[in-house]
Amino acid sequence: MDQLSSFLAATIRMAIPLLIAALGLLVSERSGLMNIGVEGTMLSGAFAAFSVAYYTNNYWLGMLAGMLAGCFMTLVFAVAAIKFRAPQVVIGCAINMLGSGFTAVLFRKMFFDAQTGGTQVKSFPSLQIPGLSSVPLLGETFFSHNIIVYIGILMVPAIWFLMNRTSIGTRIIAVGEHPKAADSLGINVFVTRYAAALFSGLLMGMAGAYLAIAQSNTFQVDMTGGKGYIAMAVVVLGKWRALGVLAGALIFGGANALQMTLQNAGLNIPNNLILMVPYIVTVLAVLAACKQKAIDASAKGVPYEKA
Amino acid sequence: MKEKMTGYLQSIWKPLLAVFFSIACSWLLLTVFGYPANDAFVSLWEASFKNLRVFGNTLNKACPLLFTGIAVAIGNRGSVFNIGAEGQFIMGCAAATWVGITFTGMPGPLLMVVMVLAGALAGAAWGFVPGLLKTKFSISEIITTIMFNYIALQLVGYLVRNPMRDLNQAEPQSYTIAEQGFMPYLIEKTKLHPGFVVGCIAAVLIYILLFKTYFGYEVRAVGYNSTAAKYGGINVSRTMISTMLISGALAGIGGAFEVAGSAHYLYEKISNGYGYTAIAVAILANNNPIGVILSSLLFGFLASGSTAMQRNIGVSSSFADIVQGIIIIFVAVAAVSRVKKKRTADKKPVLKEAKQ
Repeated sequence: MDQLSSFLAATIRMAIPLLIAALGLLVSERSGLMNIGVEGTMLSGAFAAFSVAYYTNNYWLGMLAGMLAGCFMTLVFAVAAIKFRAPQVVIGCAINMLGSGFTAVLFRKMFFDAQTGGTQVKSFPSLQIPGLSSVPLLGETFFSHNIIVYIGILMVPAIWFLMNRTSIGTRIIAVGEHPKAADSLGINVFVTRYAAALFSGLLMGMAGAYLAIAQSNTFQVDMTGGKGYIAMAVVVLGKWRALGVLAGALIFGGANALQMTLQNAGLNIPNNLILMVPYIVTVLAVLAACKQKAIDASAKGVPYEKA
Repeated sequence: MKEKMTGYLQSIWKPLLAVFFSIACSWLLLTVFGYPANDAFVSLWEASFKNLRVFGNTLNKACPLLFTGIAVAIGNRGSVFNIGAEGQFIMGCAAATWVGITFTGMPGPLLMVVMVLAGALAGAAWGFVPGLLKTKFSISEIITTIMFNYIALQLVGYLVRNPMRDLNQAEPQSYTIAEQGFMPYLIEKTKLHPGFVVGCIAAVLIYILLFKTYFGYEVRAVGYNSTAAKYGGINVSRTMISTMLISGALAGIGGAFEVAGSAHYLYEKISNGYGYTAIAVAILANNNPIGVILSSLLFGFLASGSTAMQRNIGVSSSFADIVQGIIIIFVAVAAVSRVKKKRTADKKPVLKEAKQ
């Protein structure tokens, strides 16, 4: 029982960064921007959150800094992809390199000399919701997380509402499906895409910040370890729908939690083989879901040029 | 003729300008970060060109970038975006090492050939699966190739810790390959092995394959517009899978040369991100295999120089990643601005006809 609830709790904890980043990417992709720079954007968010939390000793300011850093990275992407119409996949790769390079160089510069061990910051504490958190099984699984976990889960209905029930969502989908038609109806394709990109950056930065100052309390070089890429797979798996993305993120959270449980179980399986699990699950899950109908934007990755 | 010349000139000066801007940006960044930028560039230069010995080492670093760069370039030409060169390279290393430590009785030249073939096979296999998933199930090769990179990395981690582990070494690494399989150094006292020369030959061959044969025409047609290619009677799936196989094999051969020529054993960080740098290499060369020779030299120079920069002035060697990112963005933006100008020039006569 105890093991089960801690497995489920770990599933949720591991799913949250994927969920938040994938929700951001969902908005970006539906507007027609295929940003494969999620990994680098998340890393920037993680580093900014960590360093600001370290210097101000305030995790909320750290979170804000992480989101703004993510926003900045997607701004670079958006200017290159929208204004200069550069190939989006290529720019995404560059963003990943920039994120990895900048965070590594700055981390070495700012924190390497200070201490030889990992510099730690005050991170988001886990909230024990009175009454509910002591319920067996459910208590540890659902009611003992930090505040960002709950914000992340609330984001699912929020993004669903934004995309399906507001005119903003309709505009985003319109510029992703058929930018020319949207333009002729008076929707400003460029402004909409810029807004979608910046919003997605806020969420990706938040996901990165979660890794540094909510899930752990320190920064490591390349600490995202492919989570940005897995978030891309989560969007595919979730069929570009908010609820689907939640399900996808939970599958990968489960794979990660399984990997941790196997490591702790002391089985005689080599560690490296266990560490493969999340990546193999990603390939298999995307393969299993590939036959279902998806609602991916038709004009994804195609730069828009005003006639 | 004159037009062709200006075309060639344009394809050279734009990347050069982009590189120049990137160097300026890097200099500024180093200054902003508080590092002595001039000293950094001096140590970058000295680490690569001070004498024949270090120049040989630059070529040694350029070799894996040359192979993976051609691999990414041919993929880009055929619209399979191979981010998996990293994994294919690593699998090539692993396969070559396995041959090198298993068939210890083989004569040297034969062993070298078998190692390279094994590397090619392993790389091709690692590229084949994402290619198959893309064509048969329309799963983005971007996701699968990246996942395969991580799987390959963990697989090598497993190999060097368990079945191949040389227990006489403190760090996890494999046994050293049979000594007759060590490739000879071309220049005394440098680490320049035949890989770079073979890579240049491969670049020329792939150039001929891409631009002078029917298969290459098919690859480029699929890359340009796969729907049109399909209606033109080209088997798109088969072309894409073949592209992926060739791309993976090239990256795998690069891995085999890295083991046989330079490292002589397998360890976890044998790749050092070559497969990712290869994306920058290919883009700077505008996906032209011959151009890849030059751009792999530039990035090899950057790779050997960034280690020296870390040693001498303390800036993390990851600074090379920043420079790569900046170069990619500048080159990508510059390349597109060229396409746009051409298009407006083409459009004019069509508009005239329409008016009449």
